[in-house]
Amino acid sequence: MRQPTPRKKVSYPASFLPTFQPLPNMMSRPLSRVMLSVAILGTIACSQSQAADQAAPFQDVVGTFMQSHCVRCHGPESQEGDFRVDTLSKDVGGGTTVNRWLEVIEKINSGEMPPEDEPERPTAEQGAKVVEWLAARIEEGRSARLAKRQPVSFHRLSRSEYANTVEDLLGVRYGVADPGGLNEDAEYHGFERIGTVLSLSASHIEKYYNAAEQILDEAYPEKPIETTIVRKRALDLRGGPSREQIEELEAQGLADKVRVDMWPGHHIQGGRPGPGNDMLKNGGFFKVRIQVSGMKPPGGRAPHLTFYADKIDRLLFEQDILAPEDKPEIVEFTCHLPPSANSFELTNDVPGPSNLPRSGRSGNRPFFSLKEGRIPWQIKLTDEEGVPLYPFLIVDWVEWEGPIITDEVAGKRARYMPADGAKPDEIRECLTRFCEDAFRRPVTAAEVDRYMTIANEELAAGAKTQPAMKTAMLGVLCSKDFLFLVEGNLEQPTDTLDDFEIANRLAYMLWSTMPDEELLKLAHEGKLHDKQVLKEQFDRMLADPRAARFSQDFPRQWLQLHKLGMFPPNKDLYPNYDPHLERSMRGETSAFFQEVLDQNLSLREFLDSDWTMVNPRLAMHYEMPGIEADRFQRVPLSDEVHRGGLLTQAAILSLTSDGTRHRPVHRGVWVMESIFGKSPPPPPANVDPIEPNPVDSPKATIRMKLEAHKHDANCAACHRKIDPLGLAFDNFDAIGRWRTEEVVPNGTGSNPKVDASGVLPDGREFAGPAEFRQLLLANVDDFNDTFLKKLATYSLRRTMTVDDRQSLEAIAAQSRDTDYRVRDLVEAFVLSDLFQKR
Amino acid sequence: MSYFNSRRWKVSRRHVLRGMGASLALPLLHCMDPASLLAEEKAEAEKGKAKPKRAVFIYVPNGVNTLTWQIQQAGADYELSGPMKSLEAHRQQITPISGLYHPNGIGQAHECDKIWLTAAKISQEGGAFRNSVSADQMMAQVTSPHTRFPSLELAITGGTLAWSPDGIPLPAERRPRAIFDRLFGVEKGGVEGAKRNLNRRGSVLDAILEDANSFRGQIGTEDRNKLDEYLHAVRDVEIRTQRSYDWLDIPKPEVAEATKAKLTRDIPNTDAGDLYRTIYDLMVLALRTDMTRVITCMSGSESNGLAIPEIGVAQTRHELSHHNGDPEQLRRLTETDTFLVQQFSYFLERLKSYQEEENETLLDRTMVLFGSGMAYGHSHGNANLPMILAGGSGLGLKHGNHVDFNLPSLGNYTMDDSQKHYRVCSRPIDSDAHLSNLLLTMMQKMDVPAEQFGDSNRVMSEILG
Repeated sequence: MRQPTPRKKVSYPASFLPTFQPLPNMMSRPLSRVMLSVAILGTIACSQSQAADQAAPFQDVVGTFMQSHCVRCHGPESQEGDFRVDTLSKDVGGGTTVNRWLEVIEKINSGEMPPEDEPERPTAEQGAKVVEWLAARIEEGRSARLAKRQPVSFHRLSRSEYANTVEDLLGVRYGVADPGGLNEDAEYHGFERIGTVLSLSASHIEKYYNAAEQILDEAYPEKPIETTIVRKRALDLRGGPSREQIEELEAQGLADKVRVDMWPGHHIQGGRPGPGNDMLKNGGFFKVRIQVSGMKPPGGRAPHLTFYADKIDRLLFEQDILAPEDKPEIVEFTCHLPPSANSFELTNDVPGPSNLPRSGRSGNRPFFSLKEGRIPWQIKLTDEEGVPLYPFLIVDWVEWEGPIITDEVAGKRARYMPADGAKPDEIRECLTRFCEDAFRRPVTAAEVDRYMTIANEELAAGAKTQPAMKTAMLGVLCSKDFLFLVEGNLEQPTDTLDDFEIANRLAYMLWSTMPDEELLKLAHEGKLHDKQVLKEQFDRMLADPRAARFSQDFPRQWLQLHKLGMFPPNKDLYPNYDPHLERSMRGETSAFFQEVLDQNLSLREFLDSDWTMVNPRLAMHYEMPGIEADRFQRVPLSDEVHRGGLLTQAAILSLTSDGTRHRPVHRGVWVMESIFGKSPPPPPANVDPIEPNPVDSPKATIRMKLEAHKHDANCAACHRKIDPLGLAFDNFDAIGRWRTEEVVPNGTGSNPKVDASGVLPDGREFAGPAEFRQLLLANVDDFNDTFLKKLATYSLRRTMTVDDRQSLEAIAAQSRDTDYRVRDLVEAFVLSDLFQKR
Repeated sequence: MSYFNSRRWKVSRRHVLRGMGASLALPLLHCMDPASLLAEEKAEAEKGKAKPKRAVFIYVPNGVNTLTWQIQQAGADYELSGPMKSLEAHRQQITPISGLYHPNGIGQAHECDKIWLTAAKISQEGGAFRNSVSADQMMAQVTSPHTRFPSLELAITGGTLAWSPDGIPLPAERRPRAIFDRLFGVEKGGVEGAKRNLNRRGSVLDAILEDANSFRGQIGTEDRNKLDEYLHAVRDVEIRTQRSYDWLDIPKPEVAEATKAKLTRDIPNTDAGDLYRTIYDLMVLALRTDMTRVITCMSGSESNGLAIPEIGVAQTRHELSHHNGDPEQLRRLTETDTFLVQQFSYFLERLKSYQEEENETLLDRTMVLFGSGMAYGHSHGNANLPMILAGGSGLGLKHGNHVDFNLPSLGNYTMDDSQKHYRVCSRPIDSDAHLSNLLLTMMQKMDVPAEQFGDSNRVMSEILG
């Protein structure tokens, strides 16, 4: 192992090369740590590419190369293909010739240039050096353009932020992801909230308009609906017995003893509060209670209740149910429904032998108990001792309560709505309040005027006060100031945030929603610049339940979890994969992050840990017995489980697969981006296809095929750095299961053994994932930098540039001083100067 | 209500001219001044009524089983390959084309649906994603004065094929009922109610536009991107609102109850054939009633295209396309290719069954492009794209040949060496055979005054009569 040697200063973002340096323990004073961090970042581990150091000037790396290999045909004398290289801007990433430089990269990368008949062709390493250097400059230039600050910048709310904001404002939960909801947001390296990336089309405005109409209609319905409770008993749910039978059962006093038995995979409709009941007509929040028993066969899976609204394609609730037949439990959940969603499916969502082809379980005979035995043609429900053979659910009733309007929500709505026939002044007061809340800042009279005009026009056209006011509010909800986070000051251009901008940034960072009353009050008082006040607010906000969104949204975007399930695993190859497992995978990563944050653990836990968070479904996937309670719980990881840290979590291992197989190169790229914060250059366009394994040749692992594929020196130069990072996890298949053999569908002979060993570019060797994770721990400083950069990108809604370097380094140093403890790190970031900068 | 027409609606010329993918011979676009829209549109409408010109684009996700798809002979005496057999009846109305590709598509596996109709170069990193205008939208600019809807964006599953002049995706409608309601739905409260709603909308749009505009005036001329995007979006909605308003007094065509009932059923994805045919029926209905003249339809999502239980295929198309050489998977891929072409044949059959003026069928006046941005899905080979052009004889297209850009230099196909054919599908044989040439040619047939589109290098005379 080489010792790190201090090098020239570097600029952000660093080249795509990961640096693998052990952290020497001789340095302990904070100052030397700062120096070391610079040293490590600046050290390019791969010895061949030392000269590709970011700080090397254009001439050293590119100029000389161009002079000796390109200019003869693409220079002043001759411009073959109308292409001249010597006049391209030396400001590679920032100049006007970025696209031409990209072409240069592609030509060198593909080996097309210099052409083969050129007498002195550069070596692959020389070519790679130039390509890396150029790619890094272009990435910098791109970041700089993305981050370019305008006198006033506009960051559109992502659709989930929109939903949260509307809910806080008016107590309506709009289904942004429902069919016909809002358009999906564009992402940049996983981030869904980069201002410059989120675009807007006419379709967006139309959808915002429709959304606002629906939201306001629910908040201020023409005909309000009283809260009621409706209970659907088993006889209403299952649709089995005939009317005569029901009457007979009622006469016998047995009607309320009838239950619904649900086999694996069975679902019942009719869990809706109707017909004839218009409880759902206006939409709103509803409480649903279900009395249910759930029997799990010994060694089998627990029955799993799901409650799904099919018209809006939304899973409203799911839970494993473990309650004896004679001691049913009542589960309760709250959901928000739009007016159109009025049909539901209640399912026992576990695999198992369905009895459905056998004419509907117990036929027309009402079901009372498993003990009652069965109709002769049914398969057995229990063994001789009465122990259930399959995961059964037994439902007694479903109860609906709603629409639920809390006093808090009613109060909020009333503040904005003038009484019928109110005077213009009163209308204006209400509208001013609404604008201030919706814009999350004080408003001027001139701003309110615009929306007042709408109300006046409506009133003049004969509308009543409430509809006129609603139209004005519609305007507010479609305005730029509601849909965007606006930062900056026209009169006095500034680089720092004002108090309201700080309040917004903090709220959207930690809660993914608008600032609450307390934050806005402090902003009014001008206190949010005060770091002590900010720290108190940080503590208060993290303790709030809304902070759970930070643990969901930030890791999802940083770790690119949106890719999970993008290519659904092939059902033939992965029959055990189901949506419940996918949700559980997501849940682990988010719960893991939450635990690290809540317990203020070190960043190292993300790289390797001796614990993780599982629910029963994921525990089954990881082959960890004994997890019964259906929630995410912290469990110790023994060596036999082969897991630890983020990189062996099923979500991470799955999100890079293509639905049929694991993809080591994609895994490697993911590690580079998410752990080392570097983007490798894209592959050249003309790569030969990877050939399918022929049926008549011996079975080969993907690794073997990749290696056969890599003989091209141009490919090898990059892949040597990317691939080991992914191959280290070859012991995990495309859905993250541990294996020692790779299942190859075609070919002769037995399945080949997995080889997860490798050599890092700096020469350190590892035998498999466990050793690899150990090696990663030595790179915690790189990871510290990456994490911070991702956190800043998420919070500031822009990419980081060279201008942010110093601020980031200062926070990174603070993080080192607190042993990389994550809550401390996040706090240091919030209290930093960077946080208050635009 | 003259109130609406008195609005100060103006769409800047600059906005219209931002169609980056095309160099235009400056069209006079109706949307420049919507206040005078009506008169202008009426004149245009008279002109357009004579002979409608229509274009439809249908996208097939994940490429095909190229080993069974490839037609072997060029020219008129070609034999339709197995999956295409159902097209025999339409032989004189179709032109299968081999060898086309998008230069910017090579190596861009995950963007091939997005650039199918735009030919744009897109960063593979997903970055600040910017596309350019799609061919269908260029056409829609020309046909829009004549129809209630400038264009229709549909998907059976998956996203959109259509991109605005600003390179922003125009989201697609998916469910039959939603599509039907958008086309033929009647506003609650009748025409007066609809007018009232549109006026309300106009009033709201006015206010937010004025607000954003006055703000825009205050910030310098540089770097207004996001605000401008918002302004453009709001203005586009104003134009749409104006258009809806103008069409209010022209009654929507009546659709027979039985037809309506059939086309608004909630069809589960598992009934794939029914779903495909229903969407195609809706498209035929929209064209027949002249609700629009330009339609794009994503026939399946690239990541999760429908399984087809009715022919025993339980995997999604994406799964099948990564067949890893497995003969059984390849067989199933061919089966789904066959199935998709059969649905396409159904669509052509329906178009043919409607007679228009002067002995022309609806198909004769409708160009249909059916194809993919991918050829060999397993290894992301996207040269030699599968492509079938149909219809539009009345617009000047000539059919009956297999137009093949590979054979002149390839000589003949050697299908028993699969690797060799996969290479044909991964790297272009004729590097000048740009798909943009076909798109340009179709655009010109729709009277789009363009001399170039994307990276086009010539008009594709092979398909012209």
